[in-house]
Amino acid sequence: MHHALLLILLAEAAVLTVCVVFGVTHAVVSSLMRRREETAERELRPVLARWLTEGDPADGERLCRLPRSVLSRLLGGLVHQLDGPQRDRLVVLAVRTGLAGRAERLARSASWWRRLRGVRLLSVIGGDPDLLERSLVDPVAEIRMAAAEWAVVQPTDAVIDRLIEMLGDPHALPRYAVQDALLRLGGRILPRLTAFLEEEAAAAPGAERERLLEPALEVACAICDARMLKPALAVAGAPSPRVRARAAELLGALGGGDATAALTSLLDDGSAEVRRAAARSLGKLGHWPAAPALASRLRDPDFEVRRAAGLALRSLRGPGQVMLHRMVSDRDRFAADMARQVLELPEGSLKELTA
Amino acid sequence: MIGISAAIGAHGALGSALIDIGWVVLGYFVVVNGFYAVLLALAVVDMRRHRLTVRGAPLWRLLASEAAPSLSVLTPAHNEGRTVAASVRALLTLRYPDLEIVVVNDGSTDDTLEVLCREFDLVEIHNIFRRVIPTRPVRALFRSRINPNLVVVDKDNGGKADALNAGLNIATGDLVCAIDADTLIEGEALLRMVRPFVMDADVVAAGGTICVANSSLVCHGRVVDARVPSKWLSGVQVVEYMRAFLFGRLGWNRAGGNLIISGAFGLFRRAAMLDAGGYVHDSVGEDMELVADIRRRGLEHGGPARVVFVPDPVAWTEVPDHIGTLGRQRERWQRGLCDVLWRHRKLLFNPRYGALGMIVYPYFLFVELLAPVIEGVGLVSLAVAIALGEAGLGFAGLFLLLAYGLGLALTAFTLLMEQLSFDRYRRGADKLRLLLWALLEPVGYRQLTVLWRLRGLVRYLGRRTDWGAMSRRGFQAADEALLPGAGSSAA
Repeated sequence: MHHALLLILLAEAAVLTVCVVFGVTHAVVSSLMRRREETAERELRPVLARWLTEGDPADGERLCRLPRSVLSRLLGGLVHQLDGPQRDRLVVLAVRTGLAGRAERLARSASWWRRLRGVRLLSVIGGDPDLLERSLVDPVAEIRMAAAEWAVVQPTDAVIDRLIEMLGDPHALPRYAVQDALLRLGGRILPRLTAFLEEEAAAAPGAERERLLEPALEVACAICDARMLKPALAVAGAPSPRVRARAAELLGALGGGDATAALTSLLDDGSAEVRRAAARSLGKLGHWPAAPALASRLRDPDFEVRRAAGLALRSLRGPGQVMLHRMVSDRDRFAADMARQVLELPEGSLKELTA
Repeated sequence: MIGISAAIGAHGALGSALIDIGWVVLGYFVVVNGFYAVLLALAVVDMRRHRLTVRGAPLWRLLASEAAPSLSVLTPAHNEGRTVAASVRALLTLRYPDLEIVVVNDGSTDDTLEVLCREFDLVEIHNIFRRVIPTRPVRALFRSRINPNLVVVDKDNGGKADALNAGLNIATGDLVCAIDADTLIEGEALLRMVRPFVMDADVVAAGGTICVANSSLVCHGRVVDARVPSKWLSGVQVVEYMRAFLFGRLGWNRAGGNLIISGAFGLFRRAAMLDAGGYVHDSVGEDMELVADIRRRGLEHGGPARVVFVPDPVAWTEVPDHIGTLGRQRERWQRGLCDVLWRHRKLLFNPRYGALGMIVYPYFLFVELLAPVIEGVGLVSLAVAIALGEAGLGFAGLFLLLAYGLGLALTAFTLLMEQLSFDRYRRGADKLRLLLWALLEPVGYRQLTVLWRLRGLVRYLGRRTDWGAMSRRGFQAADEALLPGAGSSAA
């Protein structure tokens, strides 16, 4: 027994010694490396600024001496803030220092974390479009996410189509990154997104279609172009309440006679989420002929719908306020209460509440 | 004669009982430490994956996107007039695209509300909100003119849980972050913490690392220079917190999920919190109770139920540096643990709840709750065995050294992991101090925590439900004019 305990004790002492020795060595080495990198960065920052503004080849040569880790950090920090020739110079620097080539090699690696590193670097400096398309279908979610960011740098029609398809990605992270990428691409995706919405509006309903439509409508709502009206009207009758609600939001962003008519009919939808979205949209549009329909929604069994209807009426100003005053004496206690509360709202808080 | 032989017989029986107890304690010790080793291995795997994933990730850009979920930070304030303005300013500077700050003035009797009104130009708004969770009456709602994302709730005093529930009713974010008024959150902590929610729709709550702020320099509500305290009591707590978070909680990410999220800094899906009815009023472990409840409901109704720990978002807190205060805190934590485990006893070995019922709950029951009992019994029986000559001093010494060494090895691994992944304490002197506290922590301090936890267990059985008085010294400010937490506050 004593012998066994002694052996365990020796093993513990060995583990402890290894930890301490490794820890001390790491601390010393990392401190020295950090100092070296900081010095190099401090010295070459003014050179980098000069290279970016003037493009003197001598400065470019000096910058090639920067450690790769520092260079990739500087690139990552600067590239999104630069545009035009300055950004191009930064990319040239990455190519000259071999960083771009290394990133492409990493992006083709069999190891997931090397691929991730490579794709992240390429999302900053750009690279082979085939590699981008391949990365967009990578089995690792994080890599698909990084590739979506890269797609913003090199958007082709094929890439945009792939991004739109990726809105139905089974993992939340790439879905999120794709939504962000599409939002950043803005008007550029408009023809492809409109075509996609039209196709989807005509397609047979199904879970897959709904999973794609919901985020696509959110993106459409943020981009907001009149060409999206037709598909928005079509999906306003989709079987999924969430899709209908997003369609109502899009219609509220687009406006126009057809949109307001559809929104007014959505006020009687079976789903509270859709009714709420419709009420908010009508309020945003300031569509005063909808005031009576909105007033009747103050009697809605759902609190959020009552609240949205009340706030929408308040933002309709004259006609809406008349309705609200009338509803204060309504027999429905909840409707009267909401009307009173909304009327008592200070003017300043309205914008915040209806946003 | 009969008396002597009876005494010898009793002595022999006691001796064999002591030996049996010794074996039970030894077996428990081996099993628990084996489990710790597994947790540590899992934590290393998880940390590696996490570091490789986040390295070079443009957090600030992606998570600052319009597509990011909205987030509300809830902070209760009770008689915090001296510090509330600085705390709120620090919260307003947190980096997050769609951030709402909800400050709940929980019936303060000092000038907390007046300070907030004056400093942030508050204007009263009508309180249209759904009272999903019943709370003490809300007197008024305010919104800042200069920071429209700041909402202040003025309500009757009802305690921390009630204040958080009131904030929860009013918050509009998809996610809710509950923090203590004296917690200092790092600028990018929210951006990092949101990541698991964006990654996985099954994540219902996430916790971040809590670090000890004693002795660190604080400026504008941020820790600008992390230092290891030179005082023993707060120094050993640095080591203890590091071990608890970096291997304790991180390891659970791959072993069935966490059951604890620190009340000082946790992020939740608001809908899940509302479904669970918010924080309970009658428990001293209300944060753990909420996590257990949310997970249980998620598993029962097929909703999101994963609770993850993210190692890099950091919040700094001041730990007690007075032994009495620390004892009361640990005793309260133990009572809270007892209460939560009792409330959710149906989880125990219930296969319906998967890893939560089969691994996580039993671990918290048999290790976290009962460890002080077993450890206490082991120490006492060892002492009695030595006194009776049933165990040799050499053997006892060797056994204690073994236990000490094992704890130390785990701590050393944790410190190494921290250095390789975050390296928060960069000065050589701080690293040496950390090593010193790691060497000293198992001697004296560990035994004290056993005593406090035992006392908590006894008091829980005696139905004691008070929080115990807490006092704080305040952070060490880099600039006296910017001191955010110089006063004292009730925990």
